[in-house]
Amino acid sequence: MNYLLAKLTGRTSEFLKVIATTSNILATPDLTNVQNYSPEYKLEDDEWFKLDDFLAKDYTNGLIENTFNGTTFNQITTDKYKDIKYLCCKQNNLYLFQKMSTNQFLSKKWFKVTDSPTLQTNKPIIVINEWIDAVYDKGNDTLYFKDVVKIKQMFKGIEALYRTATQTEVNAFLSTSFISLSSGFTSNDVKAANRKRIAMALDTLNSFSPSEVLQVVNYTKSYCTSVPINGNMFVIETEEHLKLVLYGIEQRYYTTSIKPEKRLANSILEI
Amino acid sequence: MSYIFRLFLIINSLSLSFLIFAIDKKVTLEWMEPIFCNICSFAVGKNILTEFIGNNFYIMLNISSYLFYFTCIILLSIVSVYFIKFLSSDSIEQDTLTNIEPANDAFLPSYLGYFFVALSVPDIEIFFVVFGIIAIFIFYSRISYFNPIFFIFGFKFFYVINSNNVKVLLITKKELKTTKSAKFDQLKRITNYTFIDTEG
Repeated sequence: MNYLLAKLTGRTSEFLKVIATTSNILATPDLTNVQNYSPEYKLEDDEWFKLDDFLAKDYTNGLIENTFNGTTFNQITTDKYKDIKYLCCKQNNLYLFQKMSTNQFLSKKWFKVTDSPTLQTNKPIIVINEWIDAVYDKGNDTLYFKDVVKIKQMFKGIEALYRTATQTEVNAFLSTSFISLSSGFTSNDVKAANRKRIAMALDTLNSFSPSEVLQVVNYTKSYCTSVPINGNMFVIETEEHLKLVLYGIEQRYYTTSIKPEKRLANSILEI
Repeated sequence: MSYIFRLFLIINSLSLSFLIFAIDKKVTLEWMEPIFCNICSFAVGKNILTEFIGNNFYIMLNISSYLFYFTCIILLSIVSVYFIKFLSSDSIEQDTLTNIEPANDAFLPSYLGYFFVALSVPDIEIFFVVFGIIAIFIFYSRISYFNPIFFIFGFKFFYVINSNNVKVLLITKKELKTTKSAKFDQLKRITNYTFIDTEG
């Protein structure tokens, strides 16, 4: 029996049963092209990130860590449909997760496609989308997903995989020896995208020895010609300057070996 | 949908009490007498059978009234079993049950309670008031819908506990003994704690 469950908004809410049927509710996505998760890698269209030994990582969900018992879940009642946070479809060993978006809950007028349609008003319907945000395979204890941001509501703590740097971390990064801020740019001006890169860059810098840091700074200087330099320091005037320096720390710049051309790696995959 | 079905189940489960009440207070289909006589004289005229019925009319009336009530009760139950298929589906997977205990015995005392109430109410108004209140309580308590007529159809009542420690009432035709290999693919949900098995 396949189950469609709904998780409501609110901290204490449980999963509720929506539908149980013997037919397939959601189409199982093709999980042949998978990559181990890394924040630097940008997925191709048909690729999925995967996390092995998922239960051991303790990103709790309230559903996948327990044995599945359909009779445990209460039936959803009419007043609760508008509060659905995400849908979970349990098909055999697979748990398919789909985040609810506001346009899935349709409260428009509608009619059935038949010979004698009647107008239905005030009868909201919920549309099940085709895409799937995450798949958990109970058989091999693996989570497949496309975007951490989309599944952070489903698995507690998983945003740590793609965390945003805190203000303290941003301050710490901007006060490193090779960075100076111009008068028009302060640490409060750093936007979300760069904060994520800073979180990553700090981890990278921490893994470097002082000489390696020096190396990476020189490497970055050779590529980031557009960033003003004052002695040994990059002078950050804009978000863009900060981004270029952060790319440098991740060593995303490279030169092709035949007909040398300087390039930026949009996505990184360890070989 | 489940509301209608639950209302049906409650009426069913209390209807036997009405039979007891009717027998106790001799509530019969007496008003049928003139109609019946007319039909008899009009259709068949006088013969031995109608004479026999005429002589023993009141004894026959009592028995046939009670039989009529009982048939109605059975028919109501058949209708409610038919309604089951419109309820929402559910299942219990193999090896997820940890405990099975028969619930038949647990219900009989409360059912006897209904019978005693039925025997002691003085008239039909009080009967409907008392059982109306009982019906409302059963409806909103959403726990049990015990109907002894289901035994005649071969259903049995079990309390089962699953691996998440949730105890539910299961109405099934299967003979449950062990939790091993206990598996229900065609359950229907009456309430969140009451499930009925349509297999078999």
